[in-house]
Amino acid sequence: MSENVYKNQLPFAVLFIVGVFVILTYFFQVPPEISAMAGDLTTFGAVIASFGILLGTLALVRYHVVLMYRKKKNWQFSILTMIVLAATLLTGLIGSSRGKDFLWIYNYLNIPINATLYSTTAFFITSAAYRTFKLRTFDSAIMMTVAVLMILSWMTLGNLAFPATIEIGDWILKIPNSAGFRGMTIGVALGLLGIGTRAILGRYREVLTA
Amino acid sequence: MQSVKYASPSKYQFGRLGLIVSGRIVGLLSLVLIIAMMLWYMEKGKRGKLPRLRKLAVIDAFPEVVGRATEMGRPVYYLLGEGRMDRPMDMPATVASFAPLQYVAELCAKYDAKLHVPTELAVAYDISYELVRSAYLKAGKIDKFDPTYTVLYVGGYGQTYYVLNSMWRERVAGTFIIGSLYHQAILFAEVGARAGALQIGGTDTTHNIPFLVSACDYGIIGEEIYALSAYLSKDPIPTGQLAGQDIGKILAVILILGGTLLLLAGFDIRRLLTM
Amino acid sequence: MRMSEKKTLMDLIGDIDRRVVFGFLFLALVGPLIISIPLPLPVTGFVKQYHEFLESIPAGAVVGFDVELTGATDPQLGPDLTLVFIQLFRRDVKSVIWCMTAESPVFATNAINNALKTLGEKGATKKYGVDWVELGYIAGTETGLTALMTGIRQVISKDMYGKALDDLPAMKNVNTGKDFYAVIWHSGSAGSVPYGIRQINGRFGTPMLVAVTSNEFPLYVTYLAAGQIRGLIGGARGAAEHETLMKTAGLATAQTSALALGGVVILAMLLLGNISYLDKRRRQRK
Repeated sequence: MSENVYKNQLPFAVLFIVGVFVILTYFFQVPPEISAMAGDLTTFGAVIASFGILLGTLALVRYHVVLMYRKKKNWQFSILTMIVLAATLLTGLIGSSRGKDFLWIYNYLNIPINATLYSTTAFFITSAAYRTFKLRTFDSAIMMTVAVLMILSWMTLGNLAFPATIEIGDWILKIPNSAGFRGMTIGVALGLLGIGTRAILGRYREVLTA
Repeated sequence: MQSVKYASPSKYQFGRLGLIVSGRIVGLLSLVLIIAMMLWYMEKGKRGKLPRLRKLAVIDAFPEVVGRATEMGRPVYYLLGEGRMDRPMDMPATVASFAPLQYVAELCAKYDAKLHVPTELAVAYDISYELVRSAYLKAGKIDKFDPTYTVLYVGGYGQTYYVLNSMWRERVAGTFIIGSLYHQAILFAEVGARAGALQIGGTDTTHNIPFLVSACDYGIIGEEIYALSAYLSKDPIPTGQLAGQDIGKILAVILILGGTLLLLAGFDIRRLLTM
Repeated sequence: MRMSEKKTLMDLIGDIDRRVVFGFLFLALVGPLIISIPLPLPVTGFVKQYHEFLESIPAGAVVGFDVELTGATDPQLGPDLTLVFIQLFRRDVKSVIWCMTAESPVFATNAINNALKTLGEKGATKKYGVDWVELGYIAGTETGLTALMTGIRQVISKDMYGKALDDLPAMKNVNTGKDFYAVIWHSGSAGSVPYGIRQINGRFGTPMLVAVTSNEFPLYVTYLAAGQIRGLIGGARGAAEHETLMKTAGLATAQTSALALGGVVILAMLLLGNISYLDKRRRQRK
């Protein structure tokens, strides 16, 4: 089988057949056996996705082993990465992923680190607001006014000082905010439809290959 | 296959309206119409009659960013965000960001700007690596492509913090923040701005669009990220896709305006739409 | 010889080092967590709607529960997750819990254990398999959810602990999305709510309640307004309001003072930045 067939034509053929089949079973009445087949295909997708975790782990290990072997910049951190990965994996495999040791690693290392890193977002948002929210034009003045009203409506001190901000905040969320997001959501959904159409029809090569 | 012993899914899907499942007729007709229009425009484009595209100001900014980086001798970063291709809500934006990546790589190869593309996930890394490498090869500048730097696989959550530190340390001159981004959007944009970079940012995760639009110099809002490949390549396929999408938007506007007017006149068309 | 321009106070105010900004914000956020500053907390219509729907679920009904918390989003939504379980257990509502992200089952289990501990005697009467079932991690995001809602037993035959689903009383007569009275969706910024709505409310008409982080909250108000979801809670503030309605004061309420002072810092930064900008513009015009 030539390289073109198994690298391009075969994957796109599978994509086309599965994509059209699932779409047709969604819209048309089909016998229960066909409908169950469509359900099985989506189950296959779920099973294949779980292999993605394994692939990602293997890719990470391969990458860091190469870095360590070639002693690239900061290769020492790769050793640390591999030690932590091995320790977590072995704790889960030897004990259990519900075991005390694995949960200790998760609850006392993973969660605090993740929460800490995610919380840096607040600081950057403050810094960005300070830098960008200026009354340069009419549009930016509107943006700033709405931002101030929303901040006041979300903080308890704002609600106490200006009780009307609760109602104003609710109105802003339900009316202009919803309108804006609905427009964007419709646009993005149509974009997804376009990309999906091109992918199923084999007119979007980047989906499967560079 | 294990047979389903309990409630059969077919019990909830079949209606009485012929072949088509109840509640999905209007959806099917809309889908068929929009796909038909996309295919029609694609075929028309192949015959040389490309639809006219409204110019996006951000397209002209791409060479500006790369040129600035060349003059300053500082790197350009292209940030795909998580680069996920396994989740339906992330894959389209990641895939859509590959076309601008290729364009940016070609510009960087042409103008001798130092490009850096850190990726978080393996599949996006592989595709980005190939795209960028071929761009350098095509420009005859393969010696400028550093396999350990130009496209880097950082892996895991650490990618975000690696990028923040290296953007600041290297005083990045230009950033392209295009892809499926979540909280990283504001982090990248803010650190890039503080480092003095000229920034282009866009994502399809709607709640993060405001962060990028306010913090970047040029914003790409929502579905414009999908349109970029059409603008950059002038290829009939993505251009036809864009034109077909516009038909979908026209349909949405007609339904919204028409439905509102009919509702005010006392006719509720919601039952018709859920036929 | 050119004299260098001297920076005025206004210039300095408009160009504060970001580390100083971070420092002020840090103090504003950490201070109230150390020195408690209780503040009255008004409850918004969104949270009332969420709470009232939970209160309307009849005893004995089975709800589906998607938990997608991560270490990053647990501080915002974890308190509400525990609170919802308290509410469900108190009302004798059964729940079938699944997770679309790999790290979430731990949070679900922790929240259930905390809820049972809080309920005391009532909690001691609750039994696994009868009052709740944990299906664990379901891979495949929307594809996985579609398969799960089409037929739970087609995807998995055992729960997270290896027990056969057919042996669990709570799973009797529950196999598809239609079999749930409602589905509660706690999405910790995973962007999964739209596909949850598509595959559950869109396909089966099953009502949904959603809890998301505060940055995603404005996006999902559109679904609430359209009636696709019946209740929406956003971040720690929403969780704190829910605690107020439940007449408890937990971790979320503890955060509201910090959030309030953090908001004050942000507003102060906005004010200073704009005062400096307007002064600069005035001087340039001269």
